[in-house]
Amino acid sequence: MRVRKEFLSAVGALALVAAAAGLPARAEGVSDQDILNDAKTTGDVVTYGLGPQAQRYSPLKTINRDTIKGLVPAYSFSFGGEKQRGQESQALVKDGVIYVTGSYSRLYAINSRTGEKIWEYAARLPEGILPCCDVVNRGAALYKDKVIFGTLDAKLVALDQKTGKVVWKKDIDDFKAGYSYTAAPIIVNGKVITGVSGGEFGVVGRVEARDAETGELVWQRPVIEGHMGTLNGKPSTMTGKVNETWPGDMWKFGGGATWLGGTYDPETNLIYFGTGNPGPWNSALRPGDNKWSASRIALNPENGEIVWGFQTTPHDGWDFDGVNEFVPFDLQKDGKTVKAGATADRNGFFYVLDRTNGKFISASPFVAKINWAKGIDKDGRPIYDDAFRPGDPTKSEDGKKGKTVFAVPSFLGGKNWMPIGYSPDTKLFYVPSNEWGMDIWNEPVNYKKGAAYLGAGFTIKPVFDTHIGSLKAIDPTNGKVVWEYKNKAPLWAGVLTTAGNLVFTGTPEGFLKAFDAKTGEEVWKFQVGTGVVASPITWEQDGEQWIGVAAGWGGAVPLWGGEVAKSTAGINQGGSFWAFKLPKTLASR
Amino acid sequence: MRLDLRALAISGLALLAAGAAPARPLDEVVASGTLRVALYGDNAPFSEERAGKPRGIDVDLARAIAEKLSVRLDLRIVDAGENIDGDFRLNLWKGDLAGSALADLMLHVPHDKMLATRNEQIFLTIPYYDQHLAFAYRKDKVEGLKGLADIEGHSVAVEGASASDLQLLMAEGGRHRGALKHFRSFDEAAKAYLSGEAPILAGTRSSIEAALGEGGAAPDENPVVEIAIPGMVKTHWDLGGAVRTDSRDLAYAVGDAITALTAEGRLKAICETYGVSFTAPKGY
Repeated sequence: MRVRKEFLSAVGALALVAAAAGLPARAEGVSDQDILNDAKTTGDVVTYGLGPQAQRYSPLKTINRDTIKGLVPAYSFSFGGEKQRGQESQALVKDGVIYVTGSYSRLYAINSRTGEKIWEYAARLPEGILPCCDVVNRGAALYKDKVIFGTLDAKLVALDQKTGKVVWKKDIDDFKAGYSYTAAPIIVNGKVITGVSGGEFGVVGRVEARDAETGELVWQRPVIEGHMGTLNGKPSTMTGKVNETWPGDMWKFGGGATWLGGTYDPETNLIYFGTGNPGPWNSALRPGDNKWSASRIALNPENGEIVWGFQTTPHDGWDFDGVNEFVPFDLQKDGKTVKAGATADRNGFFYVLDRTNGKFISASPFVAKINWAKGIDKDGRPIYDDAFRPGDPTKSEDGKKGKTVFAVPSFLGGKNWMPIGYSPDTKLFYVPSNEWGMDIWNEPVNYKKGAAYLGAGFTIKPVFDTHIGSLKAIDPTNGKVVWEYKNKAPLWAGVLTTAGNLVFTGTPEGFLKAFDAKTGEEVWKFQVGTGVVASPITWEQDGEQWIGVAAGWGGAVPLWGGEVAKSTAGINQGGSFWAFKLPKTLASR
Repeated sequence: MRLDLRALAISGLALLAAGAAPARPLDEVVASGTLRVALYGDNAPFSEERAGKPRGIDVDLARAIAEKLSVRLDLRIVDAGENIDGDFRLNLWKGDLAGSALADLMLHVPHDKMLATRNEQIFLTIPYYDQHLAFAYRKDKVEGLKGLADIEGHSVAVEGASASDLQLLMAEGGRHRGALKHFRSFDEAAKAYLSGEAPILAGTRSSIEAALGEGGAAPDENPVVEIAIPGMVKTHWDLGGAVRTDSRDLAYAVGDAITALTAEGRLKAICETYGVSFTAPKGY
């Protein structure tokens, strides 16, 4: 993160545009019940993930493999201006209005039938602000008459759904200290739940709950051991115990950013969050498991207490930033139904855990040629292969870079931010993954603010000549890959699955694609003119099924060069929201 | 240069692309009458803002260089990115999100051939300052600091993730890790030392000297020493300037100015203003 002190007045002036005609009916607001029922109600999408469990499954089935050939674009809404790159947002729909965020911390309200703009809010960002990993925003949350989203300068903003005017605005943290915010907030029992982004020294991941009506802080839970939580403005309990799994005072600055946001399971009343990698990057400098970095944690939504934790990559040495979402589902096992959850980790393994207590059920590789671990043992701990752990700099010669290892997957992950989906019909998970590894070494020729430091040197390399991207259908009962779709460029978009036996996702090459959920056969595609790195949604209005997706190439992939860049060369920028519908006349044929 | 503007516009990063100006060779700088120099903020004693005013060794040096070139100084205080390669991109050859004007010159750039080779878009000037990692210790608490063994039993205040920090984390297989007290900035580490929270302070020699001077710590009671610590981390490096690769003549002119300022004793005088001892880089 890099920041200039002055403010640029031209950037992000609040723009209010009232549509002269076609204003939708008065919004009635989004209740707690609407949020809990979101997975079942097909006329709206009021949560990130199409339901608090974020299975990204819709019971709509008008569009299926036979009717989809009639799916046509209804409109394309441009985010405008020159700020086109990096559209990773999942849209929301309620009472005839689409709420979709754009990169650079912008939010748009659009007439869901016509694509006309109702209003636009552009956060006023400090000049020169440069988040480490692009300018994306992943979506908003709806609560009552408000729409809430976070900004790159680490603020949380609640706007009036009808006017786009600010109702409240709170600092998540100081952007000058390296904090940022890009995830979609979630609403749990009237509270807005957020994490933090940021990779600078001193940033410690935490989960926070605020009153969604006022923005007032209710509780905070740091995810790294030794830090004290708060509840109603007072210290509550410490996370773990000091020096249990960290040496010296390094826990104070331990990392574990919670930058991807969380999911919520109403059945267990637990919030699930993933936590990022520990610092400094080289694991030899911080002996121990370094909890709760690279973990999944379950929290009590009332007080922020950690109910359970499960560390996917203890003592991470590869920047396997394990923030990945934990998706609750019911696992059928030995004739019984287990309250389970699944997560496809940056480290390349697909985990199934008991979501009531975090107990390990199974793990299996979901990308090829994983070498940093030989497998996962019966307790869920990786069986490390030390030949593929980056070299110990304490054993290196003066000024020499030490050994280079080729580790699979790369630090961008078997799966990165892009959300997985689960279909209760097929009982399969759909995982957008990437097949790549990295050469990684300790690089002594590194300077920050004119002073030497020891960074990681790395080169990301594809594992196969033919493709990097790989959409996989995974059976959670045995970890087997049921089908796979291979894509030349890395996949960076979320998935949507429907009762129409379809799976939707986007590609950097600019296609929104649909696959047969059982077989993986590609049944439809549409070129939107720029890379798709966002999560599609579906909803029903006026008796027709609609599909929507934000388009606009960006995200972390184009920021890293090397051989991977070859697969994405020539992809054009864009910045738009596309809506498709299946006209009634075609649906009935 | 036109190409750069286009790249900015295409990437959508340049709202004010029309206002972004490319870095320029010497004749354009001289003709415009202004030298644009980018310096780091929060980088005492070299460059920082106090009460809205830039101050420090690099600030004074930039002013003196502009004077030698007979142009006005246009100073830009920028915050450091994740690494200097990124700073080159933002300040010298590609530009930032807001489309700010590129700088003609960056100071406080480590004079390192490998760094220059890896960043073909930039060209280095000759260096002006010889930077070293060092320690200060309180004579009343620590008997002496001649080697790592003398750290034993004492705590060391250090800026987290700095060169000194990594050096100490790695030294002797990591046996001094428990002694380290980490702070978010050198400034905070120095305050902890001055308040007696830690009897040893680690950092660059220049920042230690400046902090001790400003904190009123008696030099006799607070010796500043360098000790040999083997390992991967560089313990000394030269600081110089960088320009865009097609502005080499500007780099030579800046180099001439540095040579003259060193010979005149002005560089030494500037350093002393901030309580910093001056050592000229060797071999240039």
